[in-house]
Amino acid sequence: MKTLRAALAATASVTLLAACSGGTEAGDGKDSQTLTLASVDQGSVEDVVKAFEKANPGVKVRYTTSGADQYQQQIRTQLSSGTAPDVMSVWPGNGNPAATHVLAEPGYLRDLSDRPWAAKLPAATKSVAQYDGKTYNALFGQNGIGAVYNQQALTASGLTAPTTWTELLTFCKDAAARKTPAFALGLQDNWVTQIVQYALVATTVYGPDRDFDQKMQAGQATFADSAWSAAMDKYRTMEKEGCFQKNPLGTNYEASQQLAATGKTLGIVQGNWVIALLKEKNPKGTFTLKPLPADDKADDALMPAAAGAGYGVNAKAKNEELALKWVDFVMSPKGMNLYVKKQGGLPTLPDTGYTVDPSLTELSRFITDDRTVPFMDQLWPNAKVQQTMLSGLQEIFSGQAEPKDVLEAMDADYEAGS
Amino acid sequence: MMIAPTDQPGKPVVPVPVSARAPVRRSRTASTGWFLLPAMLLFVFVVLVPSARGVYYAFTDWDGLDPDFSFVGLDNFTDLTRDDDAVQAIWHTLLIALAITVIQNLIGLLLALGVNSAIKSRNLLRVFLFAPAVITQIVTAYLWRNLLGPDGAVNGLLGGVGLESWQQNWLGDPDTALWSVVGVTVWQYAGYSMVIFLAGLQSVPAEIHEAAAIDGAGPVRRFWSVTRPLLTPALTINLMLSSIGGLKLFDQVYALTGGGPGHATDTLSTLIYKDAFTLGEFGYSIALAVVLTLVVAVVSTGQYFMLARNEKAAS
Amino acid sequence: MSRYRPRTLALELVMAAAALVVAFPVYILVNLAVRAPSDTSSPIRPTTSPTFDNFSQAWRQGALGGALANSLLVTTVSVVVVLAVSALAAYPLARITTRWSRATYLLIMLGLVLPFQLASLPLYHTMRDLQLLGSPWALILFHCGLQVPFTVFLYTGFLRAMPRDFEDAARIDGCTPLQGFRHVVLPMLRPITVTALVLNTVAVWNDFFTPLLYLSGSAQQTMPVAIAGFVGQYVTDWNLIFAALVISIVPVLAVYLALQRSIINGFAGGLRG
Repeated sequence: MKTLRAALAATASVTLLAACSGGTEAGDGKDSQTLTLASVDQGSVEDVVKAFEKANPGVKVRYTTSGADQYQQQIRTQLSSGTAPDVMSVWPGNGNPAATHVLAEPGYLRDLSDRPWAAKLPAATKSVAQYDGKTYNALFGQNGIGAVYNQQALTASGLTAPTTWTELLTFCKDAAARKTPAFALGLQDNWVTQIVQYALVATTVYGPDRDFDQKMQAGQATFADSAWSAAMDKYRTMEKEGCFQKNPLGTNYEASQQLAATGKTLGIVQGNWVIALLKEKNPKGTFTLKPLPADDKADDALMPAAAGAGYGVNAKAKNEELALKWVDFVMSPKGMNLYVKKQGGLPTLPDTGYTVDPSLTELSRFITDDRTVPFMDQLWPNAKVQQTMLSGLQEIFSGQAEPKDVLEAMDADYEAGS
Repeated sequence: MMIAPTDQPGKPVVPVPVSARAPVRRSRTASTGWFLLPAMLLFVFVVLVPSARGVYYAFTDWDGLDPDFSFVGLDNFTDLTRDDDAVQAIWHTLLIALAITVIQNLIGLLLALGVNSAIKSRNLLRVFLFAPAVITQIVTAYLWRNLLGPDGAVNGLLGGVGLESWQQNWLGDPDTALWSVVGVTVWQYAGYSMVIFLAGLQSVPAEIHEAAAIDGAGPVRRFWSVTRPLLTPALTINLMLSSIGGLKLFDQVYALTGGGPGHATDTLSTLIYKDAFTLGEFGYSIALAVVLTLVVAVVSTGQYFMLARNEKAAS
Repeated sequence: MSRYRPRTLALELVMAAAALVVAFPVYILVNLAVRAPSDTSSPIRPTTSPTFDNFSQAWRQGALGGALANSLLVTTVSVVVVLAVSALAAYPLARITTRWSRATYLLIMLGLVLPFQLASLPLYHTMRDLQLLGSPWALILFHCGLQVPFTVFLYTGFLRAMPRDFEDAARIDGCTPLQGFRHVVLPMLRPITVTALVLNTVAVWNDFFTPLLYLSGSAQQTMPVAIAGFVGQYVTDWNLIFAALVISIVPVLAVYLALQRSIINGFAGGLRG
């Protein structure tokens, strides 16, 4: 799920252009006490590196951080040229150019099944940390998608957060009538287009059929002939009913945060990672994540929730010992809590003693009740399906395509396989 | 000049065959052939050999990662003809290049004529109008991304002067996104074209103009029959540079729109990047790069010969 | 031509309007760069109480000092080498009229046509084998080769338009080809050298994708890469970002302003005849 990770790294609005060097005092890298690391966790890895160096005196981490697009280019070039660092960010599952399946298949990642934490991963997380029955990815944090409300704006409008689809449409109309549209939407950054779609698909598609992915894999279901098209219609209905501010296609991720943070909209449909960014823009604001209703039975609602990018160890790591120390540290209660706190997510392992932020209580409850589904693309066979969906949604919103065309194109890409 | 242009033979350091006085021209300069060596070494090592080696991937199914890949002949090229995104990107590339070439040179020429006149601010303007050309492309793109937003300064300015109806969703609307890319590029490089045209204009001796003026020719007539023919070399350089630049345009498109909305502004260059690194179709992306090379080569050689003929006709 | 008439005044006004169009974005850039983040008024309105805090903050947090030093090193060395080898190469290309010389010229011009994506990966492998990855020397080597075609193109055009009498004289006075080149040709190339210097400086300084790949994993960054990283990290803070953008363009702008007078002359020389 490269695109959502980009958001987590808070670099997504210009992912391509977001790359920088974090290691300011680089050594030679030949030292046995030096670990090389490439990460997309801009804004949070810095603190974890500091804690790791403190826990391992004499050890120096030479690291770089970059936005998702850039990172994928660099890591693929480096892996195929034998110049990759010891530890690197790896996305869970498949369907992303730097995902677990993609990198493990040609043998670039070291098997981490022997690590103490590998067996403890909950089933849902384990399935996307593994390839061919072996664990390759130290997945430390998980995230959810839903409607994030600006509580102050909500109170001022006198409206309450909807729990059913019908309530949602009324909510949108009322909010629009008060000149504060319900949700901010920044479609100019194409990864944002999928967020609302995923939030709607969770309930619409997986609500009635939790085994939808297996059916897709077995060739028994398609996007075009499934509730995916109903979800896409709901997305369009939301737009027509004025759920979003005007000009979503000309608004980027950053501008959409600005709207929700300052109460120009009542909220934003996003991942939990956006909360930290909203607070940055409006330190006094209170923000809460709730499921986005997609049908009329509130109890049926499901939320998309999945692991974010974790770390893999280079099969040809120059310093394997330190590399393993790093992933073990990230998966330890201390490292994990540090990471998820900074990123505003939830830990993947139970019993880390993590205090959940009040804004995420709902998400935490959904995870405990097993009312979550993974981000859809993590189980897709290749990266093209997602790319087709992203540009397809932009085309739908700019009147260049119909949902049917886009879903059929996604089916064609899905069938092309890996 | 420290050496006077005389015919006195002097003492040659390297003996020159006396008999070679007239046909000497060739052999004399031929001994400078080794001057080429350092530049050629760098060029061959950095550009030519790696490009030639790169072409090989166009005939493979490599994903850019797996060391295990096979030779697939022309498959990538046949796939390309069936790929709507690629066909569309070729049209966008040609359209953007054509639009940039025409608009940038037209504006550049008008600006050049303006600053080549008697206006008082001419020296200041020459310096100022070229300045955007030295700014980093991605910096320009960041700046314009902000300016062209729905609440950006461009819409703000239009609203401020009572032109609300002109306000647009510049980068988000497929109808305006492509033209916004063209506009930003022209904004940055019109001054570049201007400077080259200006150089051409300054090579036109003022006496010719005065003579033509005395003969009763108006400014338009003077431009057409006196200035225009002498501008041909400047026009040649300008057209070549702007069309090649337009065809290969990458940084601006990627940073402004990322090829979107949808594929509305995808060009060959952005598609090459996406296919290689986002979709993991490295071989295919190199096949696209080969197509881009051919397009640029055909357009620029065609232009070169056409302009060379004109130049000959003009002189 | 040199008289100031009412029509000239009208033209002056039209040109001033054109300058305003060019200036507008630059004005916004500077206007926001000197504005405190707390000031949320329209970007068009002049900032009432300008501050330079953004600049010092961007400078520190973006580690722009190191990037500046790197960019200066890479740009200076690359441009000096490119100018030297290209001027030297252009001489035989302009003066020798054999088929070989023409073919060589066309071969070099092919470099203008090739998209950078083709050579990118094989060249990366070469740099790896030379152990230059992560070092500014990889970039210097890259730019030295990449800029040869365009620079040779500029020099050859200029030389072809230049009379050869002086070189002939130098030859007859007993100069070796190299001496003749150094003492006679080179001084006459001065105008086009200034033009080539500015254009190459701009190209090398502004390159973004190559340093990103070649310096990845090292602490050595160039200005555009540092800026991009900075923008990535401070996505939301446009005042700070704009201040960083201003810092990044000042050095190239300075080179340009210092040499602007000669740029047009350089082109003019190449276009003569």
